[in-house]
Amino acid sequence: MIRDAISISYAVILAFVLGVWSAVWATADLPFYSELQVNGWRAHPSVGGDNPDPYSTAFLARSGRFQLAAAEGLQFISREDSDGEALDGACIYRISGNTPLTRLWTLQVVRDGVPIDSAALGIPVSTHSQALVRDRDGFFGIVISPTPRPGNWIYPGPNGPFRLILTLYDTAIASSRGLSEIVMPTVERVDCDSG
Amino acid sequence: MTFLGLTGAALVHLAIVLMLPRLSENDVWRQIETETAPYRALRLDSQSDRLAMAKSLDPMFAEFVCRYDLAEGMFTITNDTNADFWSVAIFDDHGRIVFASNDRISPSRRIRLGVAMPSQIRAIQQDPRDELRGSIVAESRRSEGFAIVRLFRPDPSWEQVVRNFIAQTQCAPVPV
Repeated sequence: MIRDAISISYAVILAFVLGVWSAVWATADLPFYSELQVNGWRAHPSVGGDNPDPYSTAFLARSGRFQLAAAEGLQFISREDSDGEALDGACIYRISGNTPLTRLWTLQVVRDGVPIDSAALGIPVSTHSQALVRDRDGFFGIVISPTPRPGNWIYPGPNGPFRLILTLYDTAIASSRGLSEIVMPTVERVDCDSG
Repeated sequence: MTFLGLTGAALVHLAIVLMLPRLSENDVWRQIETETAPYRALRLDSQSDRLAMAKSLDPMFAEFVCRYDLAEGMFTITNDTNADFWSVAIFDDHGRIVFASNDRISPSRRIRLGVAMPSQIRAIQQDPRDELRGSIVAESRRSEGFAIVRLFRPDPSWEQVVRNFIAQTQCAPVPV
Protein backbone atom coordinates (compact mmCIF):
# COMPACT_ATOMS: atom_id res chain seq x y z
CA MET A 1 0.00 0.00 0.00
CA ILE A 2 2.67 2.48 1.05
CA ARG A 3 4.89 1.19 -1.74
CA ASP A 4 2.09 1.91 -4.24
CA ALA A 5 1.64 5.42 -2.87
CA ILE A 6 5.34 6.09 -3.13
CA SER A 7 5.60 4.91 -6.73
CA ILE A 8 2.51 6.85 -7.77
CA SER A 9 3.79 10.04 -6.19
CA TYR A 10 7.16 9.39 -7.90
CA ALA A 11 5.41 9.26 -11.27
CA VAL A 12 3.36 12.37 -10.53
CA ILE A 13 6.37 14.37 -9.35
CA LEU A 14 8.45 13.21 -12.32
CA ALA A 15 5.67 14.17 -14.74
CA PHE A 16 5.20 17.56 -13.14
CA VAL A 17 8.86 18.55 -12.70
CA LEU A 18 10.04 17.27 -16.06
CA GLY A 19 6.97 18.61 -17.87
CA VAL A 20 7.24 22.11 -16.41
CA TRP A 21 11.01 22.28 -16.79
CA SER A 22 10.96 21.14 -20.42
CA ALA A 23 8.14 23.55 -21.27
CA VAL A 24 10.00 26.48 -19.70
CA TRP A 25 13.17 25.47 -21.52
CA ALA A 26 11.45 25.03 -24.88
CA THR A 27 9.70 28.40 -24.79
CA ALA A 28 12.68 30.46 -23.64
CA ASP A 29 13.65 31.25 -27.23
CA LEU A 30 12.37 30.72 -30.73
CA PRO A 31 12.52 27.02 -31.64
CA PHE A 32 15.60 25.69 -33.39
CA TYR A 33 13.67 23.55 -35.85
CA SER A 34 12.20 26.52 -37.71
CA GLU A 35 15.57 28.21 -37.96
CA LEU A 36 17.02 29.30 -41.28
CA GLN A 37 20.82 29.43 -41.22
CA VAL A 38 22.79 31.39 -43.79
CA ASN A 39 26.51 32.00 -43.40
CA GLY A 40 26.28 32.02 -39.60
CA TRP A 41 23.15 34.22 -39.51
CA ARG A 42 19.99 32.73 -38.07
CA ALA A 43 16.42 33.74 -38.83
CA HIS A 44 12.93 32.41 -38.18
CA PRO A 45 10.94 33.14 -41.33
CA SER A 46 7.88 31.16 -40.21
CA VAL A 47 7.32 33.38 -37.15
CA GLY A 48 6.18 36.25 -39.36
CA GLY A 49 3.84 34.04 -41.37
CA ASP A 50 0.17 33.25 -41.06
CA ASN A 51 0.52 30.19 -38.88
CA PRO A 52 3.51 30.26 -36.56
CA ASP A 53 4.15 26.98 -34.76
CA PRO A 54 2.95 26.54 -31.14
CA TYR A 55 6.44 26.95 -29.68
CA SER A 56 6.99 30.29 -31.43
CA THR A 57 3.55 31.46 -30.32
CA ALA A 58 4.28 30.39 -26.75
CA PHE A 59 7.64 32.17 -26.82
CA LEU A 60 6.03 35.40 -28.04
CA ALA A 61 3.27 35.20 -25.43
CA ARG A 62 5.75 34.53 -22.66
CA SER A 63 8.26 37.22 -23.61
CA GLY A 64 5.53 39.76 -24.34
CA ARG A 65 6.99 40.64 -27.72
CA PHE A 66 5.50 40.83 -31.16
CA GLN A 67 6.92 39.51 -34.38
CA LEU A 68 8.00 41.20 -37.60
CA ALA A 69 5.51 40.11 -40.25
CA ALA A 70 6.86 38.47 -43.38
CA ALA A 71 5.55 41.34 -45.50
CA GLU A 72 7.49 43.80 -43.34
CA GLY A 73 10.85 42.11 -43.19
CA LEU A 74 13.05 39.43 -41.70
CA GLN A 75 15.46 39.57 -38.80
CA PHE A 76 18.80 37.73 -38.81
CA ILE A 77 20.88 37.19 -35.67
CA SER A 78 24.56 36.33 -35.52
CA ARG A 79 26.27 35.18 -32.33
CA GLU A 80 29.45 33.81 -33.84
CA ASP A 81 32.17 34.76 -36.27
CA SER A 82 32.98 32.70 -39.36
CA ASP A 83 35.17 30.34 -37.28
CA GLY A 84 32.31 29.59 -34.90
CA GLU A 85 33.76 31.61 -31.99
CA ALA A 86 31.36 33.72 -29.93
CA LEU A 87 31.44 37.45 -30.72
CA ASP A 88 33.31 39.42 -28.08
CA GLY A 89 33.56 43.16 -27.52
CA ALA A 90 37.32 42.95 -27.10
CA CYS A 91 37.85 41.73 -30.66
CA ILE A 92 37.88 43.39 -34.04
CA TYR A 93 35.54 41.98 -36.68
CA ARG A 94 34.98 42.74 -40.30
CA ILE A 95 31.54 42.25 -41.83
CA SER A 96 31.84 42.07 -45.58
CA GLY A 97 29.84 41.03 -48.57
CA ASN A 98 26.29 41.93 -49.37
CA THR A 99 22.75 41.29 -48.20
CA PRO A 100 19.86 39.70 -50.10
CA LEU A 101 17.90 42.11 -52.26
CA THR A 102 16.07 44.37 -49.85
CA ARG A 103 14.87 47.94 -49.81
CA LEU A 104 16.36 48.79 -46.48
CA TRP A 105 18.32 47.07 -43.77
CA THR A 106 19.62 47.96 -40.33
CA LEU A 107 22.49 46.46 -38.34
CA GLN A 108 22.71 46.70 -34.56
CA VAL A 109 24.77 45.43 -31.69
CA VAL A 110 22.63 43.66 -29.11
CA ARG A 111 23.66 42.95 -25.54
CA ASP A 112 21.55 40.82 -23.20
CA GLY A 113 18.75 40.82 -25.75
CA VAL A 114 18.48 44.61 -25.90
CA PRO A 115 20.01 46.85 -28.61
CA ILE A 116 22.58 49.31 -27.29
CA ASP A 117 21.29 52.85 -27.16
CA SER A 118 23.22 54.93 -29.68
CA ALA A 119 21.99 58.31 -28.49
CA ALA A 120 23.44 57.80 -25.02
CA LEU A 121 26.87 56.89 -26.30
CA GLY A 122 27.23 59.41 -29.09
CA ILE A 123 29.29 56.99 -31.17
CA PRO A 124 28.04 54.64 -33.86
CA VAL A 125 26.69 51.36 -32.44
CA SER A 126 24.52 50.64 -35.44
CA THR A 127 24.27 51.37 -39.11
CA HIS A 128 21.82 51.03 -41.97
CA SER A 129 21.87 50.47 -45.70
CA GLN A 130 21.58 54.15 -46.54
CA ALA A 131 24.43 55.28 -44.28
CA LEU A 132 27.18 53.01 -45.56
CA VAL A 133 30.24 53.74 -47.59
CA ARG A 134 30.23 51.09 -50.31
CA ASP A 135 32.72 49.71 -52.78
CA ARG A 136 32.49 50.37 -56.48
CA ASP A 137 30.58 47.11 -56.97
CA GLY A 138 28.03 47.87 -54.23
CA PHE A 139 29.55 45.52 -51.67
CA PHE A 140 30.39 46.85 -48.25
CA GLY A 141 32.75 46.30 -45.35
CA ILE A 142 31.89 47.24 -41.77
CA VAL A 143 34.52 47.10 -39.01
CA ILE A 144 33.38 46.34 -35.47
CA SER A 145 36.11 47.48 -33.16
CA PRO A 146 36.55 48.93 -29.66
CA THR A 147 38.55 51.81 -31.17
CA PRO A 148 37.49 54.12 -34.02
CA ARG A 149 38.27 52.99 -37.57
CA PRO A 150 38.09 54.71 -40.94
CA GLY A 151 35.21 53.75 -43.20
CA ASN A 152 32.18 52.02 -41.76
CA TRP A 153 32.78 51.55 -38.05
CA ILE A 154 30.60 50.23 -35.22
CA TYR A 155 31.43 50.21 -31.52
CA PRO A 156 30.38 46.90 -29.91
CA GLY A 157 30.29 48.13 -26.32
CA PRO A 158 32.62 47.01 -23.55
CA ASN A 159 34.36 43.62 -23.44
CA GLY A 160 32.05 40.65 -23.33
CA PRO A 161 29.70 38.72 -25.57
CA PHE A 162 27.39 40.49 -27.98
CA ARG A 163 25.12 39.64 -30.87
CA LEU A 164 24.54 41.27 -34.20
CA ILE A 165 21.06 41.77 -35.57
CA LEU A 166 20.65 42.45 -39.26
CA THR A 167 17.06 43.25 -40.14
CA LEU A 168 16.00 43.27 -43.78
CA TYR A 169 12.94 45.38 -44.52
CA ASP A 170 10.76 44.78 -47.54
CA THR A 171 12.62 41.74 -48.74
CA ALA A 172 11.37 38.95 -50.95
CA ILE A 173 13.23 36.25 -49.02
CA ALA A 174 10.94 36.64 -46.01
CA SER A 175 7.93 35.45 -47.94
CA SER A 176 9.37 33.26 -50.68
CA ARG A 177 12.38 31.05 -50.39
CA GLY A 178 14.23 28.50 -52.42
CA LEU A 179 14.21 30.29 -55.76
CA SER A 180 17.68 31.71 -55.41
CA GLU A 181 20.44 31.23 -52.93
CA ILE A 182 20.38 33.67 -50.03
CA VAL A 183 23.56 35.71 -49.64
CA MET A 184 24.51 37.12 -46.27
CA PRO A 185 27.63 39.06 -45.31
CA THR A 186 30.50 37.22 -43.63
CA VAL A 187 31.49 38.11 -40.05
CA GLU A 188 35.21 37.55 -39.86
CA ARG A 189 37.48 38.03 -36.85
CA VAL A 190 40.45 40.25 -37.67
CA ASP A 191 42.19 40.52 -34.34
CA CYS A 192 41.61 39.99 -30.67
CA ASP A 193 42.90 42.00 -27.76
CA SER A 194 43.66 39.14 -25.42
CA GLY A 195 44.73 41.45 -22.60
CA MET B 1 6.26 4.00 -13.10
CA THR B 2 9.08 5.86 -14.81
CA PHE B 3 7.30 5.29 -18.13
CA LEU B 4 4.08 6.64 -16.64
CA GLY B 5 5.99 9.63 -15.27
CA LEU B 6 7.57 10.39 -18.66
CA THR B 7 4.23 10.11 -20.44
CA GLY B 8 2.76 12.46 -17.86
CA ALA B 9 5.70 14.85 -18.36
CA ALA B 10 5.02 14.93 -22.11
CA LEU B 11 1.38 15.76 -21.46
CA VAL B 12 2.26 18.48 -18.94
CA HIS B 13 4.79 19.89 -21.42
CA LEU B 14 2.25 20.02 -24.25
CA ALA B 15 -0.45 21.48 -22.03
CA ILE B 16 1.82 24.30 -20.86
CA VAL B 17 3.12 25.12 -24.35
CA LEU B 18 -0.36 25.16 -25.88
CA MET B 19 -1.94 27.10 -23.04
CA LEU B 20 0.80 29.71 -22.60
CA PRO B 21 -0.68 32.11 -25.18
CA ARG B 22 -3.97 32.06 -23.27
CA LEU B 23 -2.51 32.16 -19.77
CA SER B 24 0.31 34.67 -20.24
CA GLU B 25 -0.37 37.81 -18.24
CA ASN B 26 2.17 39.75 -20.21
CA ASP B 27 1.51 39.06 -23.89
CA VAL B 28 1.37 41.93 -26.35
CA TRP B 29 -2.40 42.20 -26.37
CA ARG B 30 -2.65 42.48 -22.60
CA GLN B 31 0.08 45.14 -22.52
CA ILE B 32 -1.69 47.11 -25.25
CA GLU B 33 -5.11 46.69 -23.68
CA THR B 34 -3.95 48.09 -20.35
CA GLU B 35 -1.74 50.86 -21.76
CA THR B 36 -3.81 52.31 -24.57
CA ALA B 37 -7.28 53.63 -25.21
CA PRO B 38 -8.99 52.36 -28.38
CA TYR B 39 -8.20 54.34 -31.56
CA ARG B 40 -5.51 56.38 -29.78
CA ALA B 41 -1.99 56.09 -31.17
CA LEU B 42 0.67 55.18 -28.62
CA ARG B 43 4.34 55.52 -29.40
CA LEU B 44 6.23 52.35 -28.51
CA ASP B 45 9.89 52.97 -29.23
CA SER B 46 10.33 55.38 -26.31
CA GLN B 47 8.63 53.04 -23.83
CA SER B 48 11.24 50.31 -23.64
CA ASP B 49 11.81 50.77 -19.91
CA ARG B 50 8.12 50.21 -19.23
CA LEU B 51 6.75 47.80 -21.82
CA ALA B 52 8.18 44.34 -22.50
CA MET B 53 7.05 44.50 -26.11
CA ALA B 54 9.15 47.60 -26.79
CA LYS B 55 12.43 46.12 -25.58
CA SER B 56 13.54 44.26 -28.67
CA LEU B 57 12.42 46.82 -31.24
CA ASP B 58 14.79 48.11 -33.88
CA PRO B 59 16.23 51.40 -32.52
CA MET B 60 16.37 52.79 -36.04
CA PHE B 61 12.60 52.62 -36.31
CA ALA B 62 9.78 54.47 -34.61
CA GLU B 63 6.71 52.35 -33.86
CA PHE B 64 3.24 53.24 -32.77
CA VAL B 65 0.16 51.20 -32.05
CA CYS B 66 -3.61 51.72 -32.44
CA ARG B 67 -6.07 49.37 -30.77
CA TYR B 68 -9.49 48.62 -32.25
CA ASP B 69 -12.70 46.77 -31.60
CA LEU B 70 -14.66 45.73 -34.68
CA ALA B 71 -17.85 45.55 -32.63
CA GLU B 72 -17.91 49.36 -32.96
CA GLY B 73 -17.59 49.13 -36.74
CA MET B 74 -14.89 48.60 -39.27
CA PHE B 75 -11.43 49.83 -38.24
CA THR B 76 -9.67 52.28 -40.52
CA ILE B 77 -6.17 53.69 -40.30
CA THR B 78 -5.29 56.49 -42.69
CA ASN B 79 -2.43 58.88 -43.19
CA ASP B 80 -1.83 61.34 -46.01
CA THR B 81 1.75 62.33 -45.28
CA ASN B 82 4.89 60.89 -46.74
CA ALA B 83 7.55 58.86 -44.99
CA ASP B 84 10.73 57.31 -46.27
CA PHE B 85 9.63 53.82 -45.35
CA TRP B 86 6.74 52.55 -43.34
CA SER B 87 5.25 49.15 -42.72
CA VAL B 88 2.08 48.18 -40.94
CA ALA B 89 0.99 44.93 -39.31
CA ILE B 90 -2.49 44.15 -38.00
CA PHE B 91 -2.62 41.68 -35.12
CA ASP B 92 -5.65 40.10 -33.47
CA ASP B 93 -6.03 39.76 -29.71
CA HIS B 94 -4.28 36.37 -29.83
CA GLY B 95 -1.18 38.05 -31.25
CA ARG B 96 -1.65 36.47 -34.68
CA ILE B 97 -0.89 38.48 -37.80
CA VAL B 98 -4.08 39.33 -39.63
CA PHE B 99 -2.51 41.45 -42.33
CA ALA B 100 0.84 43.11 -42.98
CA SER B 101 2.24 45.31 -45.65
CA ASN B 102 4.63 48.14 -46.38
CA ASP B 103 4.36 51.39 -48.29
CA ARG B 104 4.66 49.68 -51.67
CA ILE B 105 1.13 48.35 -51.38
CA SER B 106 -0.44 51.47 -52.85
CA PRO B 107 0.83 53.68 -55.67
CA SER B 108 0.44 56.77 -53.49
CA ARG B 109 2.54 55.22 -50.70
CA ARG B 110 -0.02 56.44 -48.17
CA ILE B 111 -1.59 54.37 -45.43
CA ARG B 112 -5.22 53.69 -46.29
CA LEU B 113 -6.15 50.48 -44.57
CA GLY B 114 -9.31 48.97 -43.20
CA VAL B 115 -9.94 45.91 -41.05
CA ALA B 116 -13.35 44.30 -40.99
CA MET B 117 -15.15 41.14 -39.97
CA PRO B 118 -16.42 38.96 -42.87
CA SER B 119 -19.99 40.23 -42.41
CA GLN B 120 -18.81 43.85 -42.43
CA ILE B 121 -16.87 43.22 -45.64
CA ARG B 122 -20.01 41.90 -47.27
CA ALA B 123 -21.88 45.00 -46.12
CA ILE B 124 -19.35 47.45 -47.54
CA GLN B 125 -19.14 45.51 -50.79
CA GLN B 126 -22.88 45.88 -51.25
CA ASP B 127 -22.85 49.50 -50.18
CA PRO B 128 -19.48 51.10 -51.03
CA ARG B 129 -18.49 54.08 -48.90
CA ASP B 130 -16.78 57.22 -50.05
CA GLU B 131 -14.46 57.29 -47.09
CA LEU B 132 -13.19 53.81 -47.94
CA ARG B 133 -12.35 54.57 -51.56
CA GLY B 134 -8.80 53.52 -52.33
CA SER B 135 -8.49 51.63 -49.06
CA ILE B 136 -7.14 48.15 -48.75
CA VAL B 137 -9.45 46.06 -46.60
CA ALA B 138 -8.17 43.15 -44.54
CA GLU B 139 -10.44 40.51 -43.08
CA SER B 140 -10.25 39.52 -39.43
CA ARG B 141 -12.32 36.81 -37.80
CA ARG B 142 -11.69 38.18 -34.33
CA SER B 143 -13.26 41.38 -33.18
CA GLU B 144 -10.44 42.93 -31.17
CA GLY B 145 -6.92 43.65 -32.29
CA PHE B 146 -4.33 46.32 -32.95
CA ALA B 147 -2.30 47.87 -35.73
CA ILE B 148 1.42 48.51 -35.41
CA VAL B 149 3.07 50.98 -37.77
CA ARG B 150 6.85 51.12 -38.15
CA LEU B 151 8.57 54.22 -39.50
CA PHE B 152 12.19 54.46 -40.53
CA ARG B 153 13.94 56.78 -38.07
CA PRO B 154 17.69 56.19 -38.39
CA ASP B 155 18.72 59.10 -36.15
CA PRO B 156 17.13 61.80 -33.98
CA SER B 157 17.14 64.34 -36.84
CA TRP B 158 14.16 62.40 -38.25
CA GLU B 159 12.14 62.97 -35.11
CA GLN B 160 10.12 65.84 -36.56
CA VAL B 161 9.10 63.78 -39.59
CA VAL B 162 8.06 60.91 -37.33
CA ARG B 163 6.08 63.13 -34.95
CA ASN B 164 4.32 64.77 -37.85
CA PHE B 165 3.48 61.37 -39.34
CA ILE B 166 2.04 60.06 -36.09
CA ALA B 167 0.05 63.25 -35.53
CA GLN B 168 -1.43 62.93 -39.03
CA THR B 169 -2.40 59.29 -38.59
CA GLN B 170 -6.06 58.69 -37.96
CA CYS B 171 -7.34 55.52 -36.37
CA ALA B 172 -11.11 55.43 -36.33
CA PRO B 173 -14.10 53.11 -36.37
CA VAL B 174 -16.44 53.30 -39.37
CA PRO B 175 -19.89 52.01 -38.41
CA VAL B 176 -21.16 49.58 -41.02
